Amino acid sequence: MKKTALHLCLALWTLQVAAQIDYDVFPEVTNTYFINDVHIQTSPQDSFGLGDILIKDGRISQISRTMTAPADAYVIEGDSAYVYPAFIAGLSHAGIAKEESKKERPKVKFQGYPPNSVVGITPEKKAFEMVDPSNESIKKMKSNGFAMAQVVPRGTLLPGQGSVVVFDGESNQDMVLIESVSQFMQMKGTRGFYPSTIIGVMAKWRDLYNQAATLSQHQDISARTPQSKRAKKDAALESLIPVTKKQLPMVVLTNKVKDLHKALALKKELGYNLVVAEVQQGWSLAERLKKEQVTVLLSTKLPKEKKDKDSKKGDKKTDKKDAKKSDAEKKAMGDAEQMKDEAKEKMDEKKKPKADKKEKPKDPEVEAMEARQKKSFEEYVGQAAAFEKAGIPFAFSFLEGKPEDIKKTLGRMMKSGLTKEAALAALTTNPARILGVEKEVGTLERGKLANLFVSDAPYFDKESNIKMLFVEGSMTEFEVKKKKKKDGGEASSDFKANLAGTWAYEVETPVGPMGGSVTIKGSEDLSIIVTSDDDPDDPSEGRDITLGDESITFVIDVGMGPGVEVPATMELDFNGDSFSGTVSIDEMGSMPISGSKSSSPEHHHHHDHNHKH
Amino acid sequence: MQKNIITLLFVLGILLTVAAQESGSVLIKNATLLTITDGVKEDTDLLIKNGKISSIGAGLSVGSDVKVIDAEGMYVMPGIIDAHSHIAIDAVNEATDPVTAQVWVGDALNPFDVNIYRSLAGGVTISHAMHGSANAIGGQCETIKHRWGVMDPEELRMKDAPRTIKFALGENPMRVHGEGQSIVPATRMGMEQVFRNSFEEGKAYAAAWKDFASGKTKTPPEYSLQKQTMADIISGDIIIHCHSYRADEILMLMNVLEDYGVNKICFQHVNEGFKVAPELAAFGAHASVFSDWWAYKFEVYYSTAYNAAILAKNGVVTSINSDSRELIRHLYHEAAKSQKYGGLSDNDALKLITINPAIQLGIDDRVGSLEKGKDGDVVVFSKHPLSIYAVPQYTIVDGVVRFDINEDPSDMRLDIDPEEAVPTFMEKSEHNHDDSCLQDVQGHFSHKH
Repeated sequence: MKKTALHLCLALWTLQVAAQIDYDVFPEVTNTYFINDVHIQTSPQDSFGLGDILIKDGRISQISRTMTAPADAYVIEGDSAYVYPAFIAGLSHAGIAKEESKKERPKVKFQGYPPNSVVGITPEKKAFEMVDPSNESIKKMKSNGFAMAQVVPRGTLLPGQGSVVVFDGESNQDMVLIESVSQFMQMKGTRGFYPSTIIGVMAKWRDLYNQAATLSQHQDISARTPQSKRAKKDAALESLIPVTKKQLPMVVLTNKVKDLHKALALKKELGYNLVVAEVQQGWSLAERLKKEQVTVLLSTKLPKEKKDKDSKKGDKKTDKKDAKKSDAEKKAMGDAEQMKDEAKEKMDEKKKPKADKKEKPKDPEVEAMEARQKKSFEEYVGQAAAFEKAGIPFAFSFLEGKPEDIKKTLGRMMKSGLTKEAALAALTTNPARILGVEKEVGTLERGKLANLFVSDAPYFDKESNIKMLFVEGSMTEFEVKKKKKKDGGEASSDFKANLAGTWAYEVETPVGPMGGSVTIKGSEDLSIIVTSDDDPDDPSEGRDITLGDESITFVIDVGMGPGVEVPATMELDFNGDSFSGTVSIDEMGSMPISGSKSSSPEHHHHHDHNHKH
Repeated sequence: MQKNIITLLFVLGILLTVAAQESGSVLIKNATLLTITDGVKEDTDLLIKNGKISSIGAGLSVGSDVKVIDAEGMYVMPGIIDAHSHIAIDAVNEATDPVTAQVWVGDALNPFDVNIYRSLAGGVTISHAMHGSANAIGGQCETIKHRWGVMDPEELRMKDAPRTIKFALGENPMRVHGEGQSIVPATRMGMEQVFRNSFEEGKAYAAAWKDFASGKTKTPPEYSLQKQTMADIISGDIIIHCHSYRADEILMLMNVLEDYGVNKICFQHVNEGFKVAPELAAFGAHASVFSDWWAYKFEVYYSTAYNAAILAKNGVVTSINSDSRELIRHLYHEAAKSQKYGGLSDNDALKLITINPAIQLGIDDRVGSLEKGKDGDVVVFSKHPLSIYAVPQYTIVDGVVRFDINEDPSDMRLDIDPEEAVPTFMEKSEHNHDDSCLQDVQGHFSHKH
């Protein structure tokens, strides 16, 4: 009774605090918490069963079935909830704000010899220095169970060094566990400057690497040879020396199989330790990655499920069918029973006579192509399972996938064969080992950092909610949101209301980034104008506009040279004031696009919009 | 039963069986062999064993595990070699600097480019994937084998083929850098100076490292891949392939090369080559030309379709190239034009697309003719390849059948995007009808080649 009262008191007080000041971190008083009566998943494989956890001074002080709460402890009534080791993001930009897209072309005398900063070569920077503890992205990660991440700077070719941070602390100094844990590389050029293309990027990297190695050699000689020629000071090159000495690994962004081949070729040639990150198409190289002892960070961005597209474009009949399927898919979050049900459902579907399909027969050639695409789709979704099968202890990266989708993403991976143990390991023990902090975090053990979350049901259950997160013993409670009921693909009104305005975009083309703006008017009947910075006087109007759940798809014509225009399909996923997506041009493939809102509409536009309703 | 499964796999377009093997064995029976270096052999068999031509003769036989092609009434020639193309690479020009000797298109190989398969359908087994012509000294190129079906870019490389590099003269580099950036080279005089400066840097760089190695200097020079590459050209490790049109600048570059002791050079396009054919032959320079293509910009007006024949008859090692993913599919037609314009013999015409480009790429000891011990790269034609009615039936690379006209599914994609709408057209991409020397150059340079 007393406990309950205290708990109630605590909850009320937390609410009050939350209302008064704008953060939800429970103030530390005695640094002692007692979580009572919870199911404890101590590691990906092991469960302690029901027990209590005592947290003291940021660490797990005890896990036991027979403990009584110390007098100075805040007691949290677990109520048979489920406790897991908090998640660790293998790679993330958490806490690092997006850079404003540069409007003006930097003034550089020779395109072939730009300063490092113009082409995104800043390996001397360290990611934690850029982390803002109050950045929204950290809150998002925490509310999804993450207590820690390897963060890397945003940028172009060599944005800087990765740092290991915990999501607790008032300054980035407070947060950092390891200042420099890797050197981060993206094989991206800068349009108009050397290196602008992939061939320039590869050559520039060889140059930098070998220059760093030579500089190191020079430094050693100078140190032991009096009056020898002084080695030049160069912060960028000096920061690469630990890579040449295999003291720091290179984390290289490698989405596709071709990127992986490039990264592997460079590793072989130059000989550093390699971490491949944001891998989306790596299954065919699993054995080779294992053999060459490459560390793997798989992407959490999976291809979008087809139903989204079909329900936008397809006829109504397929619509319904797909909608049904999508519900079933949502249901399958690893719960064995539900999975069984679903399998049964699928079987039933198969048994059904095909007579009710009355659509006109498809072109067999198109059908065959679609079948191959389906297979490809399944390979992408099944990548994590394939890596598990190959015995590779991978972690996940979150530069492209959203941490708030993690449970859904894991669900899809698990449907393709990833085990629950491997899924948990990829978010706990594996990243801990990869980052060299396995003695501190990753499992729930006496003495380790108290990084854990409390879920009101088994994590992989569809209806489970993360109620509470501890990061180094500091507690954050989350309001359990009631799932908003969306009726059939209807876009949320928040999303629609926020669309109107001007959005700055940047497309990553094979020849470097290109920028411009997208101006959207209206909220239902949209009109869209796209302007490129290269040719601001020749805007293109969007057509075939489809408004999705939190996305828009439309087609514009883009200039490919004098008098030649080709259609480009833009698929933009919105998330508050930013978006990301792809621009697809037939034959050229698709290129990533991202952007953010640069201005809201003028008032009378808004007024018009209100009138329509 | 096993045969059925294999057929089924082919029908499904699954090329994994092909991808898994690097080399293969094939017996071609009863064909007319156009050996290039040893005359025409009628009613003869050719056996490729483990990727190499192992015997040529009558009545050859093999075990039941080796594929046999009955080529009665058909013609077999060495796989066609294209000394100038830009297929299967994701980047062509690093157009940010007049000198980019350090870049290498071999870094951007794309095994998924369907033009590899399309060129196989035209009998082409090897192409020279080149950097573009935006820069005076462009990047290093890559000689690739058309092993359609492999996923690893490394497997496209022709291992141990000599290194090559792209140079460019004239309007393209002048426009991109002179007009575009207002820097040297803005004129043909400036072009020469760019070459001389770079060779000087390469020379000094090699000397500086030599001094460090010998202990003459105590500390190492600053590393530069660009200067190292120039030094490698001077030491003869890299063959220059130079985009060129006008006779005066062809002579200019030969003078520059002479000053630095460099003699491995193949002039590309070289439309005015017919004016300086004896000089080219005397220098030992090679020429790789179009059959009959010109007037696409000012410096390419003075041209003739007799160019190839004149060069060849003057003793210049001459080839006919495509520089285009369309022309690459019928280089045998392009070679045949040298018979109408210049009256070359069948064998001399075929040399333009076989042994001669092989010499220019430094791979003539391995390919370019039907000889025992050479790579099993051959193409089987329905008729004589110089006939307008000839159609390639089988194209074989290292003994592996990479194109078979009877097993030619419509969907040959290797890398399938999981999300993108299924592409079903060609017409939308007409703007991109050929891979041009100025690909990736930003700005408004609509002239190509």
